[in-house]
Amino acid sequence: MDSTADPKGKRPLYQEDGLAYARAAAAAASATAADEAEAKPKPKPSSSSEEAKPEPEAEEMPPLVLVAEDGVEVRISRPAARMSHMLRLLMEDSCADGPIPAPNVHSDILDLVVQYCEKHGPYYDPEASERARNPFPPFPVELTPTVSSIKPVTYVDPDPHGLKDWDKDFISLDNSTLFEVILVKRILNLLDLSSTPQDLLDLGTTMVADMMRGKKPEEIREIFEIENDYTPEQEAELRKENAWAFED
Amino acid sequence: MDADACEIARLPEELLSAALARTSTRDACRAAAVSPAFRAAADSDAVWACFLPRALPPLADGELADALPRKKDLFLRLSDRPVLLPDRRVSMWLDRESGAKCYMLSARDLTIIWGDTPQYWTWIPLADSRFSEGAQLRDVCWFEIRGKIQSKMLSEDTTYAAYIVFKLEERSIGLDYPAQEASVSVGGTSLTRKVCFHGYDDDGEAGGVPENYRPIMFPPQQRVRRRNGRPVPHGENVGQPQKRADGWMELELGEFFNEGGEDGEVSFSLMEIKGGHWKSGLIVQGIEVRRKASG
Repeated sequence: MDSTADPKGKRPLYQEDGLAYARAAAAAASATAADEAEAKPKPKPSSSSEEAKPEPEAEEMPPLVLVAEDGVEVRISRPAARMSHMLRLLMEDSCADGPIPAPNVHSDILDLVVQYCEKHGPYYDPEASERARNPFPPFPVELTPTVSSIKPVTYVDPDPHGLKDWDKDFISLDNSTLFEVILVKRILNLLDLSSTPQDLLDLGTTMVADMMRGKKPEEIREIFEIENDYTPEQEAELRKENAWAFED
Repeated sequence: MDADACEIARLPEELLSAALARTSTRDACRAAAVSPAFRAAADSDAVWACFLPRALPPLADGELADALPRKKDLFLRLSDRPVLLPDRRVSMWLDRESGAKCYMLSARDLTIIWGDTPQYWTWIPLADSRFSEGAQLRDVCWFEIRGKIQSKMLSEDTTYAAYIVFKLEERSIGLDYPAQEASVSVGGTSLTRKVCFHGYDDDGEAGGVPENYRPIMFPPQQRVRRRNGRPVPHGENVGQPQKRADGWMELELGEFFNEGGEDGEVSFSLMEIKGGHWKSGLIVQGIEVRRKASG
């Protein structure tokens, strides 16, 4: 195991990210950005050299330290932290040197989110992602409806970095973890209500949507283990009100 | 982590709404019956704003007079019955499954060749339509009806089909043979197919000309319209009319895919100008353009 194993001693961060972390830590010791750009023997493992985004100042600094609700510290490298608007602001204001509290989030879940950010961070371009600037939540009333919002998500995107497959594995979590992850996204954005990384939120909500699509209410209750706190009369009335949806 | 707890209840309502907005109108209505918490999310404006079209056309005065407090109410109203556009010649509604905008171009909105000449076409009041009048065919040799709609009025990324909505009168003649030609044009592409106002039974043989078909202009003759015994002799690929729930008939003119974002228009036409014989006994309500479900 590398020396940058997660302080909890449980699951270390990815080996590659560990290397990035080690390099960043070493880089912090040296003074000039120029030296760092040359001294790196190989490009960041998760990106090819021609695509490495030049962020010398971000890579010099040590990773941010997020403190979960159970007191455990989780480190996130600066490039990955860029995916959170809140963390980006903190970094710009140079307030990110000390531990940053992430209340109401268990360290296991924070770990998962950090893993996601570490994986997607190098390719994340805040300028390109227009939707990342839309406030979410609360929903503005004029939401942009896309046909994809009422169809299964089957868009075909070019995916040069194999992120889609990684995402699929990542998101095949059990129900409770999935919801925790979605909740965390919410929390990481508490300060600013902007939706980075929108991708993770999209991923999670799309998963939930796929689980609900085409199912009868009884089936949805079963999948999500929801208690039916309608009275029989109430339920009958709702079915009548939405009768067309129940005609098969 | 409490694995026993009702996990989805811990999702804030906005996120549950975000998930529901990615399903369908049908799913969102069904979800309301799951639990009160689900209902709050499923009926929320956040979800139904996604199902409503981004831009609704302006409507005629007094069209949406009822109070529609929620977006869901607006959606259900628009998908239940059509509303009239300001010129009162075009009506619009939403496809309930997808939220796609659908239209009917009334006969007055269409271009009917010889439509202004009372000897050939007259305008009659319609009791069972949102439009006040329809076009009645008295006699014509040159049968041509054209309509068009701006692409930007339609929903993006949707397959549509156009139908002529009509009734055949008892005394109708000349519309069973030869078949009419329907075409749909989008941009530079045009698709034409043969259709016929008269349907036929499956026990019919294809091909052949009716015995009393005379391709020269005789005065119109009263003729008993064909019933089940004698099928109209058309080939295989002639579009057939279908009965509608509102008592009218419809005949598909063709289908097209609207990508959206273009400034063009889609045009439709229905013609029979080659037979040279008199046709009569048709009432046209309009051309309907609605979403065609795929598969």
